[in-house]
Amino acid sequence: MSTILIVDDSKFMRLTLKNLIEKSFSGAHTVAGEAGSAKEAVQKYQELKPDLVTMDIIMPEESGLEAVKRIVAIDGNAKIIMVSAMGQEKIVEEAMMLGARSFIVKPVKTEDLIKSIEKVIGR
Amino acid sequence: MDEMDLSQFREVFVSEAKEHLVSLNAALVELEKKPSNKDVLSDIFRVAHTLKGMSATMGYEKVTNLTHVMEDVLDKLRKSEVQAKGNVVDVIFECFDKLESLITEIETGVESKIDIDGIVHRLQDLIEGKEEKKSPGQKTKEPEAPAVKEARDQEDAAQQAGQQPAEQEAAAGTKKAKTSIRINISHLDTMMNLVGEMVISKSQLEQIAAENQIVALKQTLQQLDRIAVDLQEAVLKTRMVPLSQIFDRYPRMMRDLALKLGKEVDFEIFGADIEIDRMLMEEINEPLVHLLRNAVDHGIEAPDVRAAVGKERKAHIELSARRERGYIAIQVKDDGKGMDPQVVKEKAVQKGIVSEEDAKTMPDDEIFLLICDPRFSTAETITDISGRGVGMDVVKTSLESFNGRLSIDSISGKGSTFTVNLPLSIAIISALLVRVQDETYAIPLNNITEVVPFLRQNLKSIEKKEVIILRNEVLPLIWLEKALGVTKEKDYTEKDNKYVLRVESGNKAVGLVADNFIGRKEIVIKSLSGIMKRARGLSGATILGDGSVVLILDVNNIV
Repeated sequence: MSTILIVDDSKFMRLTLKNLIEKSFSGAHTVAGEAGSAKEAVQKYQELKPDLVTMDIIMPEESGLEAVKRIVAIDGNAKIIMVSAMGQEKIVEEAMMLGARSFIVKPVKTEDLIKSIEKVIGR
Repeated sequence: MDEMDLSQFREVFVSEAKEHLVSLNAALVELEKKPSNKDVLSDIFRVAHTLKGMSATMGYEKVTNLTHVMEDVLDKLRKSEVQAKGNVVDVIFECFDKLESLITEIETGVESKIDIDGIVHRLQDLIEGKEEKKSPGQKTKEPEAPAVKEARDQEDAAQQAGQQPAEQEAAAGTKKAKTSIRINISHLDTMMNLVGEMVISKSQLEQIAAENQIVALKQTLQQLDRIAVDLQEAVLKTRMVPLSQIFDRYPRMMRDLALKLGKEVDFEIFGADIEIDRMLMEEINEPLVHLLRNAVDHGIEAPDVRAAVGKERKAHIELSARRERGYIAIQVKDDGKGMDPQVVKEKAVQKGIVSEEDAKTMPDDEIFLLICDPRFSTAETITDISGRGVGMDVVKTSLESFNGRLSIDSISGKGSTFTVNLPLSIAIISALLVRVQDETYAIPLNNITEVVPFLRQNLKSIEKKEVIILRNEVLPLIWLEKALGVTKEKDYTEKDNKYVLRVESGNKAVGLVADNFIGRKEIVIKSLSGIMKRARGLSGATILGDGSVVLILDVNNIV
């Protein structure tokens, strides 16, 4: 069983993602926590040490990229999946360079999410 | 996402989307003021983007498509390929309105066939750099098909609904999304009531302990007392929300209003972070909207008129909130034409609101309040100031219904200031219990500044009115037993061992004479009903530990 940290500034998006994860894996992967900002994401990562992070890109104050940078600096093995909107390929590319392992596109499709999570966790 | 039942997320979606729209509107007003402000622009971009993601997740196509096109326009703005002024801003505002209608449609589940093609085309025109032909501020006149017309009516209705307090409930909360949860307001109300009841039961226990001399119980009760006070505060805090929840929607309103009336307004807000009891906030929204509208409509002059009298063309209207001891003061201040007390006075006399005699000695602040008399304003608004009276009686009465006080200050030619003083909370207050004849009364502690023994040698008479000298200050004296009509003997003024309470109301101070005072108590306000409601000088009642009912004096009304 693995634990997941969801990072998104929208409470609504966190809620839907959480629901999706819990339904799709029927308990195999659980959501350990949620963060609403890059700063909180780093803090929660240290606190909860999750197996996986889903990371929104555009957030107030600091972006998801900043969070990826800092989390990877703390834990080189951090497994981060970027959750991006369409048309953000450049940013996603940058995130992968920084150490993100995979990405999914909003609106999130169940099979994409399952594939992505299994790929990253399985590694 | 298809296998998921998304409907359960609709509620969260709607409330978050509405919040985003409020901040989008506020930010765009800001951007219009300073088109080069990149920070505001990227805020707008981010929020629009979030909204798009959310609606795509829920499968709301119209919202998704509209936000998508809007995002493209915003991107052009960000790249400075389009300037954030004139009709560009207007079109984006219209787009916000359309989004609001769409979200209302989602919320209510009532299909109203809202058409987004028109607005999408206009947004696309902006992207392609096509100039809009209309002049800024003018309402677009597209040929409207019946279906579109209907949608527009819906839109208007939705906008009006947006003015209703109900929507604020949805807007509450998620600003600090990380640590907050949504609670139905009725649960908080129940908690508040229960805490109130507990405070009463606690006083009853205290009484039993005192009567029976039970030491152990007394000690435990002291502990309980501390807990009760903390609990009370904690519950009160859960109901506190920042004023920004209503303040944030005003910039857009002011902008539209100024545009409609052909005026130029620089609107500023201060103190939006001040927190206030949520129930109170609902109550003050409407009076505040009224005061702000009045300021644009009647307070400030048209740009040309201002220029002619040597003022800046752009008028300045300021909405500010600040915390004072025991209350919150909210001010609406304009630098418009102001009011002449002499003119108001003459009109009030002419309308029979005050007698000529009374008017002569009336201080200015009282004169200005006369504009709140329903008789003051009439349909024929001829004079300069008559327009000011419109709806002011409604403003004043609704403020008074929850112990708010309105005061007005104005300098002819310079502008007017309307100040609303609000209690911090409406349910539990600290009060001083006093005895007058055989009765006990409660006086809200925030009205009282001092209690001193009544000394006959300090009693003076000025212009046939009794006053008392308190450290060089001349205080008009009010004998409570006379004011309340509970006098038993004729020579009530002759008795000694009385106390003078120095109380303040507005900017007036007087001395109230009471027979004795019992002490300070936290009391739960129960409102009066029936014929008691109209009793002058009383604002409510409370139940003491021994079960007796005590009336709460309305100092503002007695003074």
